[in-house]
This record gives sequence, C-alpha cells and structure tokens, in this order.
Amino acid sequence: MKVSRRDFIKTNAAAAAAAAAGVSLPASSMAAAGDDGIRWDKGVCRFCGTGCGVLVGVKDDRVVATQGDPDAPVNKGLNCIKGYFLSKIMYGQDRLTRPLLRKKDGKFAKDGEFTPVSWDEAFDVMAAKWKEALQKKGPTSVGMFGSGQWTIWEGYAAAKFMKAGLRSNNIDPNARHCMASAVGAFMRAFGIDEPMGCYDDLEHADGFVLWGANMAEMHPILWSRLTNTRLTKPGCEVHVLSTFENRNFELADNGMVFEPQTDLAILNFIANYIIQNKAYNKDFVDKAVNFTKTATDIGYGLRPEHPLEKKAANAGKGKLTKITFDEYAQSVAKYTLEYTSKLSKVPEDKLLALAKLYADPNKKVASYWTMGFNQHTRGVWVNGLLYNVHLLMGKIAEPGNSPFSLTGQPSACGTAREVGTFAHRLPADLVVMNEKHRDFAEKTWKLPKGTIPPKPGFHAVLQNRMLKDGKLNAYWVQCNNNMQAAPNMNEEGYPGYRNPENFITVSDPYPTVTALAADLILPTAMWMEKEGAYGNAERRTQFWRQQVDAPGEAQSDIWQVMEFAKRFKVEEVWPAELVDQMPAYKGKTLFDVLFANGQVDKFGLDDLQKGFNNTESKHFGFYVQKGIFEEYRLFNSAAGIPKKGHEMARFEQYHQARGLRWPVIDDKETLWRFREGYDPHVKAGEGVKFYGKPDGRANIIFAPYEPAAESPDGDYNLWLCTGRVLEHWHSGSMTRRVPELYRAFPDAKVYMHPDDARDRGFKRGQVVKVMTRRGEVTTRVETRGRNKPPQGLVFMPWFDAGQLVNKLTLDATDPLSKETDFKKCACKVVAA
Amino acid sequence: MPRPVSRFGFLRGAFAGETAVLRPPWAIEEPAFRKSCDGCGECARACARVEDAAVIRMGRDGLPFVSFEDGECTFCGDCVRACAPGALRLTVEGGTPRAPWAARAHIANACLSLNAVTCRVCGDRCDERAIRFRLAVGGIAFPEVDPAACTGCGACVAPCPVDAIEIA
Repeated sequence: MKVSRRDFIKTNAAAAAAAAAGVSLPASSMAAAGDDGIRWDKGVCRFCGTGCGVLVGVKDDRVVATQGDPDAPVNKGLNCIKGYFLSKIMYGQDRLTRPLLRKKDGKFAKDGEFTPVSWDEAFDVMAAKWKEALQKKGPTSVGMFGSGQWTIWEGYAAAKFMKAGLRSNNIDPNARHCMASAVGAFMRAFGIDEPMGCYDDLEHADGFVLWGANMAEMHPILWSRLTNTRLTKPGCEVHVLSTFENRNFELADNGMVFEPQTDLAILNFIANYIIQNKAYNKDFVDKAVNFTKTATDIGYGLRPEHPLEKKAANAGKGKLTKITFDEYAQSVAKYTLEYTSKLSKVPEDKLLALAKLYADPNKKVASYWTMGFNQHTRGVWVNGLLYNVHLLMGKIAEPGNSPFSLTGQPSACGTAREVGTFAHRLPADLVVMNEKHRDFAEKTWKLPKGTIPPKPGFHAVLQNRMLKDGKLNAYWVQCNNNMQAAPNMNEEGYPGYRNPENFITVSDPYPTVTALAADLILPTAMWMEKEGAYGNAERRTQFWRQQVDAPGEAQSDIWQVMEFAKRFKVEEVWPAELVDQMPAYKGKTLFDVLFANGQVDKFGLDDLQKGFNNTESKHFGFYVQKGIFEEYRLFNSAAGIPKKGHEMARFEQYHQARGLRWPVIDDKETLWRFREGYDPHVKAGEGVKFYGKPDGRANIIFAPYEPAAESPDGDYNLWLCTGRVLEHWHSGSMTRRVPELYRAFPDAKVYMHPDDARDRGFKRGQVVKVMTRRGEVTTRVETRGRNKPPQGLVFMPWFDAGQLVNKLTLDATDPLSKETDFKKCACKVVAA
Repeated sequence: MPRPVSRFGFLRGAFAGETAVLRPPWAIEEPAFRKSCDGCGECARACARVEDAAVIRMGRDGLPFVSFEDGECTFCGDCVRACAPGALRLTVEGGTPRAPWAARAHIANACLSLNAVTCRVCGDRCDERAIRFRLAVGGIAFPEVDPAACTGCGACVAPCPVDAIEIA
C-alpha cells in the first residue's frame, strides 16, 4: 500500500483526535505510516518524569519525526510541545563528535585549549589522573556526578563501577537537586521508596490539590488528564497552592498564593482541623499508623562554619521519637485557622475550603507536588506533613486517594533512585550503611566481603564543596549540566572545576556550560542512539530499542564507563586483603570482574532486538543491556532478597509492553501498593499494610514551621524563586538547540508584580540586574504573561545559559535530604 | 478557492498562490496606495529604528509590506510620519482617526494545540490577551482569537513553532 504524505498526516491527525477523545484506533491505521519508508517504533520521551510514550519515526538512520503514542497508557497519544519536537534534539549544529582535551604544547594542561583527541588518549590521560588521586588520597578523592536522565543500565553500571570497582561512594545523581526530599520522606514514613498510587488516580479522584507543582507547564500531559476529570466529573474540585500565580490557577476552584515556607504551617493546620473536627479515620489510624515527632532546629545544610549551622541546636538531625495521638494533637493545636492565615497570608475561607476537602470522608483526594516541596530546606518535613494528612484520613493507597510525588527527570525513579546511584544507596532500596545490604550486594556481584565502603559518599552539594576544597580531585560528570544547575555557582560551583588540583571530565552530547568548565569532554550518544530504559514517576519501567547510530565518535555513557573500567587492574584499586579473598581476580581489570563476571555477559548477540543496531553490545561482544538488567533483577526479584516490593519483569517483557509498573509479580503490574486486592504483597484479611516498615505501620511525623534559610530584608528585599518553563527542560541543553523551542521561549526573564516594577521605575521589558549576596544576573522585566508573582517575590527560570540564575541562589539544603532550596533566597532588582 | 500563481511566485515555490501582502499600518486602500506610494522606503527605515519592531520591509514590487518574522508592530506611527507622499495616513480628511488596519490573527489547522500537543506560546505573547486558551474536555486547551481585542500587531507570529498564525 502506498501512503502519501497527505494520508500520513491525516492518519496522525485522526489518531491524535481519537486519543484526545480517549479512544484508540486499531493498530492497522497506525501501521499505515510504515509504508512511507519511515520505520515507526515505540519509545519514551527524553524529557520529564511523566514518561510519555512516543512513536519514533526513522528514515535513513535519522529520527525524522515523533508523535504521541496512542497506545501509551500514560499519554494516550497526547504530547507537549517539547515532545513534539523530540526528533530534533539530537541534531543541534554544535553536536560533539570527538573527545576534547585541554592541551598546550601537545599535552594536557589545565589552562590549555580544547583539542580533539582519540578515545585512547582521552582515557589514558583521565585514567592517569584518577590513579594519581587514588594513590595520593584514596577512594574518597574520586567521584562521579550522574543523572536521572541516565538509562537504568547506565546508572547501574556507573554505581557498580564507583562503589564496587573503585570503592568510592562518591557518586550522586542530579536527582539530588530534584527528588531527594521525596525519597527521604518515603523512607521515613513508609520504609520503601516511591509513590503508592499511580496516574490512574487522575481519573479516580474527586478533588485535586497541587502543592508546589506547576503541572500545567511542567507535567502538561498529566495536567490534561486532570483537566479532563475536572471538566467531566460533577463535584470535582481543584485546589492550587503556590508562592506565585501560575497557569494552574486557570483551572483552580481554590487558588492560594502563600508566603514562602509557610506550607509547613498550612499542612499542620489541616491536620489540626481534621483532629478538632474528629474527622480522622480512627480505624485506619489505629491499625496502620505510628505517631512520631522529628528533631527540630536542624539547620540549613550549609557549610559547618556558617553562622546558621553553628546556631542550630540539632544540625542535620533526623531522629524520630514516638509520641501518642494526644501528643500529636497537641503539637498541631497551635496551627489554628487564624494563626495560619496570618502567617501564610492565605485568606481564612480559602484555607478552610482546603481543609474541608481533605476532611470530607466522601471525597477522594489526590495531592501532587514537585519542586515546591522538594527544593525546600524542610523538604523531608513538608513531604511528611502531607502524608500525615492523608494518613489521618486513611486517604492513601487506593484508587483516587493518593499523595503523589511527581518527578522532574525521565528516570529519576527508574535510574537515580531504583538502581542506587545516590551516595548512600545500593540497588533496590538497599543502603551502604547496612552491613547485611553490603554483604548481599557483594555476594550478588561476586565480590570479596568488604569491597563496598560503609560510609555514604559526598552528596551533590558536598561534591562541589569538596572539589573547591581540593579533597575531591578526579571527577566525572555524565548526562547532566550541573555547573548551570547547582546552587551558588560563583562561590561553590565554578571554583572546584577550575581548581588546579582537580581533573574534571564531562560527558555530554553538547558543549554545555558544565562541559566548557571541564578539562576533558567526552562526546556522548543520546536517547535513541542507544537501547534504553527509563522509570517514570508512577513506577512504570519503559524500554526502547536503539533507533539510529550516534554521530562521529560519540559513545553512550555505559560504553564509556565499561571501557574506562578496562583501564584499572584490580590490584591498583583494591587493597591486598580484598584481592587475597578472591585470588582468581588477580591481574584482572575492573571490566573483567564487574562486567565480564558471568552474569552481565551472560546473553549473546543472538538475543539482540531483531532489525535494530546495538552499538555497545556489538563492541563488547555480549548483550550489555540485558545482562545488566538481569543482574539488577537479582537485587529486586530473586529469592531471598533483603527487601521485597521492587519486583521487576523479565527483560524481554519490557520490549513488548508499553511499560509495566513495579512490583511486577507473576507478570502482573501493581497499580496501588500496600492495599489488599491491589498489591500481591498484602495478604487476604490484612486490608492495608505498609510492609516497608517492620510492623507494617506508616509513620505520621510531626514537624513544626521553621523559617527559611534566607528571607527578604532591608537590603535584599524580594524573594527569589527559580524554576522552569514548559518549552525548556534539563537546563535547556537540548531544548534550546531546537529552533522552534528556542523561538517559543528564547531567553529567561524575571517575572515581577507590576507594582513592584513601578515602584522601582521599571518599564516592562527593561534590562535589569537581579542581585543577591552571591552574584548578579542581567535580564529583562516581565510583568505579564504566564506567571504572576505577588508583591515581594520575583520568579526567574534557569534554563538560559546566557543568564546563569544559579549565580544567585544559596546552597542551603534540607539537612536531611541534602537537596537544595532553589525556591527561596533574598534578592534585589535594580536598573542595569 | 485556489489563488492565482504568478510566475514570480512559481519560481520561488509559492505554488499555492500568493497571499495578499499586508501594507504598513494606516495604509490607504490598496489601489490608491499603489498610486500614492513612490517606494522611497522611508517608512521601512523609520520602522527599523523602533526597538523590537522592524516589521516593514521593501517588496520586490518596490513597495513596502509588513513581515512579522523579526518583531511586532507597536503602532508607534513613525512610519506614517516618515511618509511624504501620504500613502499612510493617521486620519481621514476632517481629522477623524483611522484604524491602522483591519488585519487580525488567524490560527490555521497546523496549530499544535489543535493537534493534541500542549503549546500556548502565542497566548503567552499576546499583550492584548486576544488569544485565549479555553480548557476543554480531553485536556488540551484550544486557542481562540477575540477579533475585537486583537490589534493584528503580529507578536504571536514569530514565536509560533509551526508557523500556524497569519495576520490578514
């Protein structure tokens, strides 16, 4: 059958329209496109944590088109503007195709010019620097900064290489900037990571509450589903809380702009309201909940010599103390309607309407949050305070009742969290501090006991501090743009990269701000140039096949890690007592013991996806992705694993399915966890069981309101909140190279209240300087458009490499999660 | 109805026929404009001096037209003041102000939001709030142009990622 371009477009339009209406067309009407010389295959979007399915069209080894996949349960054929232009992200004009090393007079020099070199030379120089650091100062002097954009196997391989190979826990993902607070709260409340509900709650709920999640821009497809429910379900209501008015307010029945940091108080008020009105679910609370309180006055995760840290009574403490229900009730009693309204500046009637929604036993409530909660110096606390509300009502872990942490990156869950790329984690929720977990990991990896160090490594912000202080000397950044993304760039980011004691390698497809600050840049294969897997926010693991080859000499992150591992002999990096435990490993390389271990190299090239290339597997001679995934399954799905609940399906199943939500047991995915009838881990008669905790009970954790690390004052009289825009993602490193997206939102600007602008004599569009105690950025004033800050607050997106907003931000973190608060610091805006 | 295809257009790939060009704001009726305008280009030069504007170009026919590729019309009137022959006029005889033009934004079917793709770039750029996005069942908001509020300034044209907006 010959399909004309016109027919093709019509087919797509019909599919899109059908998808919008919630029906899917028969597969044959989609396959029609294939006869046009374009091969279509299922894929996953490269951008946010929603995890939309996209169909990827390839012709002549080039991705020529993408479209929302009508068969994908997540997005049902819908797409956002970024997803629509996915086909262009790999073809920016400045794509890197050769390794680049700073050289002077023919050899490496920290102050040299970037010069093309071979992979051999690149790895020779890099390995020499890493070995030098290891010899001088040991494993804590080497480190890696990875990503929630890594594929699952890339993150797994990198974590294994660092923790088991080089014996350094100094590996952390940029998800630390993004999801660490959510993780901390999951572990404290439930003892197991990731949401209990799923996206199906978007259709099941009667009420939605957004807590610091600009879903309309950042998760537009989920927002579409929510919008649809609001417009079609009688009685459905939408409550939106934010520190400035954004696009969500268009749909809000109850829009609330609150004073930054007072979300802590608002949540305690809701709990207080529920208790005062005896609305709580007594049966649920008696059966499934423990009451605790957390240590208070815990500081702000700044350097220990900072006055705020010295002043804190319990800096960094997260200890939980059991309390009674009555003690809990007393703790929240202070948060009356009047007090909370005054503190938060939200009118009483609005707070009351919000509390009533949660307290109504007949309304199913789904709560969503992203960076507003997580990038918060009390991020773990505030996540926990929301769980308190849901737990008091028993509105959790069943269709429509769902506290749900949305994720920013495509595989923040699947990679950064699940395979253990955090400085304290091992695969499948295991941690390095636990000897049993280490023993299990070492046994599974066939490594000597004692290989994995017991102390957590440097987290993201600490890595930058240690680079600056010269304690971390050999450093590798993969798959992210941390120079632009990390806080306080002037004082804590840039100095470490350019510290003459350090050697910095950055792997990226493009010359990002981070790459240009490095000593060695490695050109990297991206997205459809490799076989990949991402895990989205609803625990859905999704695979794609390699669609095209990478340009020039670019190689994937996993190729780079495995190839670099060949440069290290076991004796060079392990002490003799370790090697003596396994004499067979003598003389072998880290590649041999980590990847050619009889497990990772178990599957041959015959197993490869028919009709698709697989660059890494052909290079190494075995099916790399399958071997790693199946070894990873030994942590989450084998008999006798330390922690159940993360079970995954067999590798091949994911290549057939449009993703599966773990735990996958007997080939069936799990939509709602901890609830009998939905979760196979909960036995008949148990009802609800939070099996991540030994006693099966979740923790309600009282935490008070405490102020932000830095608030506006006389000199710096405005709150500065940073964030994102719909059109750009991942620091703009890909989206700004797509002409259409660039045109749609070319440069960052500072959103300001018209009265604040007028008081300063600014006209809209005027060039101004935004200044903090740490730096300044030149931008333009915007007083209209999608964001409407209240007086006293300005908002600035950080995607623009020409306006490095993180020169302004403070590196204050949640002392528990170590995640930076990018949403609150004090600034002033003056005429440029 | 198909538009006529000129030889000039054909050679430049305009197989769908030429669209009527948009003259500078406050241009008099087209036949009279063609007679009055001497193609001096002063209006385009005046426009080029306006920040964020530069929308008036000189066409191959020697006469000025408006293109929104690089900016929007601010209706500052500098072009009119620069027009010696009176092809652009702010008022009718007797001093009653004239509207700059009747042109308004039109959104074609290529619009992403009409094709199940979330994009609201044009609405974001519309200072007059003439382009509104109506939340709809199915979840994607559809654009609507309010012709009474639209001034035809063209601010929405260049940012549209799929060139779906025409000012006519």
